[in-house]
Amino acid sequence: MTKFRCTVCGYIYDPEMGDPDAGIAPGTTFENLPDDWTCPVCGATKDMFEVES
Amino acid sequence: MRTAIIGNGVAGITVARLLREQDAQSDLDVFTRETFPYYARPQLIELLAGAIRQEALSFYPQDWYERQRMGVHYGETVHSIDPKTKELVLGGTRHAFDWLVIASGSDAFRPPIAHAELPGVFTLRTLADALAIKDYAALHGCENALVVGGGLLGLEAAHALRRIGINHVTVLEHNLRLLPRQLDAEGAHILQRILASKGLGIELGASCRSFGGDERVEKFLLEDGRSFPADLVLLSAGVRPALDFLAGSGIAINKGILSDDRLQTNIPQVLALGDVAEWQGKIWGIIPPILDQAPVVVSTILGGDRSYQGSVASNTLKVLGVDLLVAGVAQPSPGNLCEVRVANEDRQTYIKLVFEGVHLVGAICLGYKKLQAQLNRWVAEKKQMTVAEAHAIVDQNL
Repeated sequence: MTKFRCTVCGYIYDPEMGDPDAGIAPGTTFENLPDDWTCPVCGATKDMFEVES
Repeated sequence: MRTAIIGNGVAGITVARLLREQDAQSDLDVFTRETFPYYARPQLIELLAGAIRQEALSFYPQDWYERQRMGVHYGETVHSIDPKTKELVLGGTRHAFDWLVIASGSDAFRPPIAHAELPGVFTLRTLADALAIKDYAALHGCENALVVGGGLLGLEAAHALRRIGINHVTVLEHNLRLLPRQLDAEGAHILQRILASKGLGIELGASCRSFGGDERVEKFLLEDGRSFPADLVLLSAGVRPALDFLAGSGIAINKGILSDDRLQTNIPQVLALGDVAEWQGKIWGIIPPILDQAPVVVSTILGGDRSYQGSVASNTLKVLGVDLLVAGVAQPSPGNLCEVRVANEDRQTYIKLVFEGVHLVGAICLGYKKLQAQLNRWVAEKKQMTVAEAHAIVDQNL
């Protein structure tokens, strides 16, 4: 599954980990994150993320 | 069209990115006093703590600006702005612009404490600061650190200094409670207990009068006459907008640059956003509003009609493993209905919900990470709920 990086702070969203603190279960793809999900480090919105290569 | 951006922090680089996405051709130049490429300021604490390496902060590749066809001018101080010729005055040269975006951010405030110029007295705002503190602590084997200021950054930095092996770290806060801007008295008391139990020294209601030492800082003296050893000092007394270079430009300032809903200053085609901008009397000083403002700046430049409508104040903090959310109106004036819950008998957790009528408008949540995102969302949308429903939600999560 594709990882995404926050272009503001560098946090990497790893679908295998999810974001349990925000109620995001492991296995949730980036595309399936809620639209109002934000970066747990800096608060950036989903549109500030890019595919991590 | 030539656009110049002053500043290469979150505000500057986000405007540059968005502008380039929507306008592939025009000239775009970024000027920064920094000598490092863009780095993630929120991660400086983790760098100081030794939890991440420097490379992890600087994740924009060196050739990013080239590929985006932007000029980036490192170590370039803008001395002044000439509004008549529409030029930036640099060290020895000038740079002409059609549109100017001022995203110069803020500088660490150095409170006027005697002998604060001694080696070993630092502020923490930039990557260079973080590296200098780390190097200094290692070089001198520092064992007694003082952090002046018990705000968000001060507490996080104090924790970081503990993590790099400094045995005694004391936080000095002149208010009578920690995080006075974020927490009410009861929340601050609980946070203080948690931090103290984990070995962080805290002096409340105390102010630093002077530092002492022969060649470098060795001690500090409080206003009340007490003196303590300190071989490393971090001044964490907030930030001030970086405005020095605006003298003579005619750009109107109050605390920050006065910006309207299109983020325009009083000078045509000169815009401001982020920590340097004052909008409706407010300077946010946090990242999320910058991300709301940047698309408005780009829209204004490209002839669009977006306007900035403000952002919901929200802050999360993690110090010594304690999660804290302070969202919206957390310290209401009398007249609002407050619902307060203290969760554990040992008082290490705290939840407070603030209602305006039937709408949830503010929350403090200490020690319950699971609830943070939900509360944050509900405060943002001013969710309608009864006090009984709020009770049920809190009870479920305790």
